[in-house]
Amino acid sequence: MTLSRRAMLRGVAGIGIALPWLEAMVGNRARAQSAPPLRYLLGFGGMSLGGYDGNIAQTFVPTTVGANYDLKAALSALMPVRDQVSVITGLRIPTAAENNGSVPAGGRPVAFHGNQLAPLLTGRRTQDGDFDAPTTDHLAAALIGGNTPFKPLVVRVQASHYVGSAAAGTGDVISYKQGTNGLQSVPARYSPQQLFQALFANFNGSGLTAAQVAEQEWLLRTRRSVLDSVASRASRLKDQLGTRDRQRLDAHFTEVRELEQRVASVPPPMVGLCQKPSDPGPDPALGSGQNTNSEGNITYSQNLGYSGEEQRASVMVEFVAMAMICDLTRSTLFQFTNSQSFLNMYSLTQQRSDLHELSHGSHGNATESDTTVALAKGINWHMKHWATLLGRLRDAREGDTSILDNTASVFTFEGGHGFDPADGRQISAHSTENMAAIVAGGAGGLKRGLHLRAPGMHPANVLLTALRALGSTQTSLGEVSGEIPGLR
Amino acid sequence: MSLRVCFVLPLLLSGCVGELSPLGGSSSSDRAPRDVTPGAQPEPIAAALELRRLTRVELDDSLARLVGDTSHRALTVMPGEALEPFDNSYAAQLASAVWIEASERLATETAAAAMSNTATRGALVGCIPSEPGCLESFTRTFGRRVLRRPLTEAEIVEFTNLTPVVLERGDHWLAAEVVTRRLLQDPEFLFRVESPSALNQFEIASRLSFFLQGATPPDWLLDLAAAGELSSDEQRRAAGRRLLDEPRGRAHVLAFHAMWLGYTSLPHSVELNAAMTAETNALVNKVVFDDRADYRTLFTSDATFVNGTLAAHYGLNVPVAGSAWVPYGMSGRKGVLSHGALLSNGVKQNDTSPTLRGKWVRNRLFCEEIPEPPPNVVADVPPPAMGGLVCKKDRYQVHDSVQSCAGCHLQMDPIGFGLEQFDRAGRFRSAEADHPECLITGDGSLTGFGAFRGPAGLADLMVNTGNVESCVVKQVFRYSVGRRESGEDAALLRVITDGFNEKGRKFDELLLDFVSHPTFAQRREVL
Repeated sequence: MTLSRRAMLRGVAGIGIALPWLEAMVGNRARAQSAPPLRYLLGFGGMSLGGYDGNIAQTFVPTTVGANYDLKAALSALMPVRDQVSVITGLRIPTAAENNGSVPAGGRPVAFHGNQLAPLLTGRRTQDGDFDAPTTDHLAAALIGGNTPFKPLVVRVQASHYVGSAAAGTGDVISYKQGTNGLQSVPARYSPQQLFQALFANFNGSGLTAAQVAEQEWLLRTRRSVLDSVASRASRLKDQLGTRDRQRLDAHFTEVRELEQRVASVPPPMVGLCQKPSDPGPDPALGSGQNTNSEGNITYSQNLGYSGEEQRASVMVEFVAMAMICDLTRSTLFQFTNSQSFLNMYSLTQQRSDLHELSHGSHGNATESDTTVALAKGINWHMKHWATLLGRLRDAREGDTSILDNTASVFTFEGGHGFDPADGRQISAHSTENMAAIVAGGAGGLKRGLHLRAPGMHPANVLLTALRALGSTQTSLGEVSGEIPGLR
Repeated sequence: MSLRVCFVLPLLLSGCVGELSPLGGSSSSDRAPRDVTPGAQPEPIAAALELRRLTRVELDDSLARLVGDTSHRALTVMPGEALEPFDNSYAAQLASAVWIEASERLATETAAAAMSNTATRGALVGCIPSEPGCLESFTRTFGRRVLRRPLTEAEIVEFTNLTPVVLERGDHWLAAEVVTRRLLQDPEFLFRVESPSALNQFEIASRLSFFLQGATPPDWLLDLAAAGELSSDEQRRAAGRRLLDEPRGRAHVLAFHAMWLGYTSLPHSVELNAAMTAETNALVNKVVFDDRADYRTLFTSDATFVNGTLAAHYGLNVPVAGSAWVPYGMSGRKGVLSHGALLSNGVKQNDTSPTLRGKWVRNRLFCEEIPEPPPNVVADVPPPAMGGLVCKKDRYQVHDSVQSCAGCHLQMDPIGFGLEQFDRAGRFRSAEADHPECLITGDGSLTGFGAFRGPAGLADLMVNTGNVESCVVKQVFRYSVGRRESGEDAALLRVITDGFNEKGRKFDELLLDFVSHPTFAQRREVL
């Protein structure tokens, strides 16, 4: 049979089955019953571990080393999954201040915000905050993603940067892939409704009438027809364009075709734990940027700098869990907050501050006398949702194991606590000393339920350990080599 | 000990050291007498361009024109753009799954809203979709408006061929809806596709419309294109004048100023934000459209349009009722630099930052770049109180006493201190709020041009430098092409700037000078 791609898509039943990647996907699902796939789950929170005073030994770092470690205020929400979680402390990212003014391997410039993300997530130094290597969500997707439709899945809870234009979807891009024309940024899906449509639009919901099933099928077919018609314009258009324009249009059409393939993909069977989640409805309204009152202080009333992130986080946790359960993705980057996050915390922790200012105590809205104590509440909000996600994966059985058993998960933080080379403070939130990572899952012999001190090691050592647990043979991540001792 | 803020390793600090020449970069050549070396200047060439995608605002304004949808759906559905300061930098317009999925949703929701509105869909479609030939004629007319060019017969067949799947439902309005969806997802709607060298008539129409209205062309402009009446420089100028005189033309001039001068999203109370935006918009409207005044009046106006709240906020005479033009008198204010909308820029840690304000003035009003600090220097913390230095001015002067810092900071800080009597919301102050013993004099200087005090003094100095004209031309150019100027663009910018200066510095004429320049009808690829 030599049906054209378009002919296949226009067919009625069994649409898309002839697409090679779908065949492979179905094949993988079949194999999954004997050997569950491995998964990677990377988390990110846009905050340091402590503020301009206080001591993270009292709020974050467990006193006990090894098993049965104690959970302090910042991590207390992890209690229900503590036996699945290992806490790694004492990590650091070096800075230009300790290397005669030039950025060392795996390091960052002296200025803090925005400059630590690239070394944190790629293990490579940056001069100006720019990334020049792909991030681990893509490395893992290439390694273990098989033919799942989301390689990787990249989501973010915080809906907007909240300073300046307060536009939807603005904020850090912390996912980078190697594209045909160099490194390419991959912005996160930030709309719960669009995430729902992207992941689950082709699922058959339970309890639908025949008419509803027919309606859904018709909607999908119409989408496919339209997308296919759009994609068919590629050759005609590109013929009239120059090289650079053609590259831009190529990138556009690649996305169109990938969307078409996702729409056409055969949904996984709705059996066992894999079910269509309920439609989240319209996204919570986008909050405006920060405003000040007549005294010049920022007013943390509920709709400024806040877009229902509590609800968004809950929905996205459920969607990511289901995407992993249904094997739509095996590599996920789950970003909660932007670095230097201006997310208004009032609705989340009842603190009149944004997440960034919790650790600085300014704007005339200091909520606690100790900024490290104040920040612990903000960190713990992240951990509450992270624990829910890990718990869902722990409870999701596949054969004799759980999904979490077959996952390597790392939650990373924007900063640590301690010396700030920018202003010489010994106790500062603007520090990459004493950083930490929250590891979970049992893939590749990862050890769970431990507190490990890894003084002087790099956060990228943790990511590398996770990648190697997933079967990677790489011995370094960027400019950082070696696993965290005792983590496997 | 006092070197913590800006410290160590002068060797790395190339940045601004040795670049303390008077302002202006290319502007010195802009002001060179033109008749000294006749014929030696390079000829202007068309701006090199890459394929550009419509911004959220352009999508919304185009959908308003195409289907009467004024819900600003794109602003909520599409991912936001960074303001650099404009929203249309094509280097940032990268393909992504997020953007594609959002554009599909935008098309789907817009088409559904248009065809479910039984009051307006008849006029939109122009016939009854169940009648023979109606879908084809709708596709032909609406397709021309969406793709900004006539459709071929083959395309009409292709687009209407989508309808069998739809007609299973027996609903012909649904068929029109799906055709609409399809057209709104077409790359020729989402991107501004242009021929590699000489533009055709329809591409010229699109350029005119996006440049002057930020939206897809109105029907009359497409008709002119179809009649081949956009060929000559004069024809383009006449069409440009008509576009500019439409309400959308005026609104687009305001949108340009709001991005350039940094007041698209102000950080104060809702009431104050609205009053400040109205104040600056009123001055732009008056200078550009109502008075067609010398554009420098924007900076030197001796009156401002305020309501009672804003007048009281500034300490000016409160209008008797509503909003009115109120004279500045001896307040030390003058022109747009005294507006809260502009003075809200260059702020950190809840107070003005003389460094950031100085940088803002250099970037936005003089079109100069101040290099980012090198990796061993931090610029994002305010100078801490140290060594017994309490007053802000004394603390910032630490910058000047360290050679490695002074190179850049002397280009910024003295400008900011000249504006320091006006706080982050544009209110007058004569002492620091937390340190009443620290008096604020408002004395500043512009390196290479002299001392000034306050916004009025800076405005006078700016006008005297002659840099305002070349910078506003550059900013218009940047907004129109979605990138910064390069050396290749210098000749065109010089010609336009000269015309601006010679013809009384009328902003509308400046825009039309771009339009009627031969390069406006040409395209050059980025190589």
